[in-house]
Amino acid sequence: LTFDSDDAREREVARLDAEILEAIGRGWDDPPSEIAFDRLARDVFAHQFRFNPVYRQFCLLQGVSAPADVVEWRQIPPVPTGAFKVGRWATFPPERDRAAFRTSGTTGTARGIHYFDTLALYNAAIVASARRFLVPDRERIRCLFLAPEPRMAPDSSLVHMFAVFREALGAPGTAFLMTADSANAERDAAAIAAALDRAVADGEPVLVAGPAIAFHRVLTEGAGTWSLPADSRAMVTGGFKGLRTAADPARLAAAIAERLGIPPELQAAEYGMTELSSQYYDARTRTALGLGTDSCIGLVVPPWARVRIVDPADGSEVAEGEVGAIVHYDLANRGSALVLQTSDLGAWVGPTSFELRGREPGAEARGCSLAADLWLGGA
Amino acid sequence: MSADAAARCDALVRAGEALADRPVAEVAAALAAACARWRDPADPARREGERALSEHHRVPAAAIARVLDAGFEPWTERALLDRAATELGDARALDGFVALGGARRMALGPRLAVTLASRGVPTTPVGDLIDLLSVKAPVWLKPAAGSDDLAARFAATVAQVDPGIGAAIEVSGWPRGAPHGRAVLAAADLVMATGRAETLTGVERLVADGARLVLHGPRLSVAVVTRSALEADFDGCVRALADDVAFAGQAGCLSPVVAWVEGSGEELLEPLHAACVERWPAPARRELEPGERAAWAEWAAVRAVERAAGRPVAVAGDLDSGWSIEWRPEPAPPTPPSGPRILAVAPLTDATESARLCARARGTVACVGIAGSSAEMDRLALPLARAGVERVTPLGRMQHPPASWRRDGRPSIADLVRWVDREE
Repeated sequence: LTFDSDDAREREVARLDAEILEAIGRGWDDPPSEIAFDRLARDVFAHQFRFNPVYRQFCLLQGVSAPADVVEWRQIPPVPTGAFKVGRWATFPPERDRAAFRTSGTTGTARGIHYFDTLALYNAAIVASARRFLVPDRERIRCLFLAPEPRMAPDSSLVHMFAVFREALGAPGTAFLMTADSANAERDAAAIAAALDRAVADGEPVLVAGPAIAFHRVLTEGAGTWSLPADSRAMVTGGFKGLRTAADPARLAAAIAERLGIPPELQAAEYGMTELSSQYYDARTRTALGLGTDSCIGLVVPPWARVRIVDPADGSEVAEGEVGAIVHYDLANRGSALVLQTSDLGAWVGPTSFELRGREPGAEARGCSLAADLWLGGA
Repeated sequence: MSADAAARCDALVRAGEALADRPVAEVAAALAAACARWRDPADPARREGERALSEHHRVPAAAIARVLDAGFEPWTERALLDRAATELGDARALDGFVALGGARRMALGPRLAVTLASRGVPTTPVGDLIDLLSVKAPVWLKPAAGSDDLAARFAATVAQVDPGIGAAIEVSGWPRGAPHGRAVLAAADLVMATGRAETLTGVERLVADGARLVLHGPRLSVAVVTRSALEADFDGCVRALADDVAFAGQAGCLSPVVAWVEGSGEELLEPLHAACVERWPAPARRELEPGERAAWAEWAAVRAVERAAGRPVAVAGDLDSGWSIEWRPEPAPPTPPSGPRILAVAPLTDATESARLCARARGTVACVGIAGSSAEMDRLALPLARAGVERVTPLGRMQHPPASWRRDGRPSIADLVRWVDREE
């Protein structure tokens, strides 16, 4: 990039970020109109086309020779998540990097990197969704994270998300309860038990958040049963596939209810990935707390994002209820890839909510739980 | 355990007790006779099996025939007995005490074996049955969900050839996590399982204390094509490589996931793609299940990103093909492809680099198939062995392991028996 183009880029970034932050700030109560979303999405696309030469070349290969060729957001060429492993996927030069998060991976598989020139959009998206779906009923809540401290896992997007939770939503007593070393399993178990004991003694509700595999390890390898205070809740993310562990989500939910005293209707599911800046939650906690009429079925698409569920062969949208590949449109991914093509499968279960339908055989395992399995020494 | 499952386990144990009293040579002869029928293209069971598997795998019967020919090829009476003699010291140790290593010893198969098959090459579960029956063990084989029914068909043939051995085989499954299945596993004193790492970890938790576990985890294979072989017979190299890659749709651990070629290898791309399609004409990607389509679409999109980034990646095989062959300018350690029927081709300056690459995937490389002279194979075999490779064979023979093949680098039947020493 030349000095001039960098200057132009910065001006464009400032304008786009202001608009994206405004869209996120509107939240669910006053969401951007379809027209506004479409315009902003195409502006972000034009920005990425202009300042990411590899994406520009990729678009050319897809038959899109200029941003004007795209007349609506659905036509924006999606970027495969694997692009983050091919090389740097960013619209800004390395000297502008402010953060970088790595995708999970096992020995022998490459790990992708998601670079950020600002965390403002990412953090705003994190807080907006968590506020709506995890903590809609109070300003702050004690958060117990089944994850290591950010300084111990600086390249984990999940740990970063929890750090943002701590700043924006965390009440006194909020803590990261695991270490990044499986050799410390006993110490971790003791820390978790002590934190749960304190929560019970204090009588204040808590949010227990972590990847499914961490919950699984804590509940299957640890002892003890707690009756956490009323309105305590859980956030469970990621699955079990690709891990050296066989587990069943329904049994995990039952174990969380039985061992922690958090009923299934207060166990929110979260779906996210390192390559995205926004997350999807189900609305069960919000509904159980009597604070909304959202359908509690499926993962809700936030208003500043869109999802298409497509036939992977030709990109055409599948009918409601049919299974297809999930394509994400995330305005908060301004600096990387607005549109992400994944091999995750899903199906619409409501007007703005979808369900994951498992990962196809042979797909590379990835996601928060795999990262956790790495912390826990399993993979 | 449900009454049915308990009764079936009891029946298998009784059949195993009867089998234990029969001479090993008789058991080997019966198993070999059943395999001979499956080698015979005119045999009605084989013909019906070809038809059914062809429908199941959505490929022509000729493709299935190649798999059956290779899968049943090694199992002659002589080969079965020689294997027992080699691995146990004396095949008759399975019948009674024999003089071995300065003592009188006997080898006993498990009282009840359960084998959990994975989806892959149709003849792999058959091999599991043959291994266990070779040591006179009654077997409950649980096929993988969605797999073909070759194991059940072979069991029926065994029962026709020898009802006594047939009574020692059960081929049926149960739903995941079913109490019935847990009870069957708990009743076994040997559990053999093939599958992904997490599946095998789950199995470990289900078997009875003291039961022996024989686990076959994920493996992959590699092809190496030397410059001399390519120059001497380009078409022959393509044929041999395609025979190994396309076998059973690349579903098994012996199918190469990468071919390293001295020189460039890019010239192999199109002819190799055509040869794979010819041998295993799988349905076009666009006709597959959404999951497989999605995995392939993402894989293909990443290749497009690489091209956009200026990397000289070439691909043969699009949505209208069931196969994809990619050429990459730099060789990398072998890793599982992100979808079925994907082969990477990459250049090597010298074939000896293959050992360094395999070493970076130590513990996972089942087989390296080499197109090269005997001298070149000799030159490569030792470094490959030291790099963790478990089998080195000529290219084109990767799918034809002999009966004496040491799968996962371990003996096939010596791991299944318990030794008893009789001392004076």
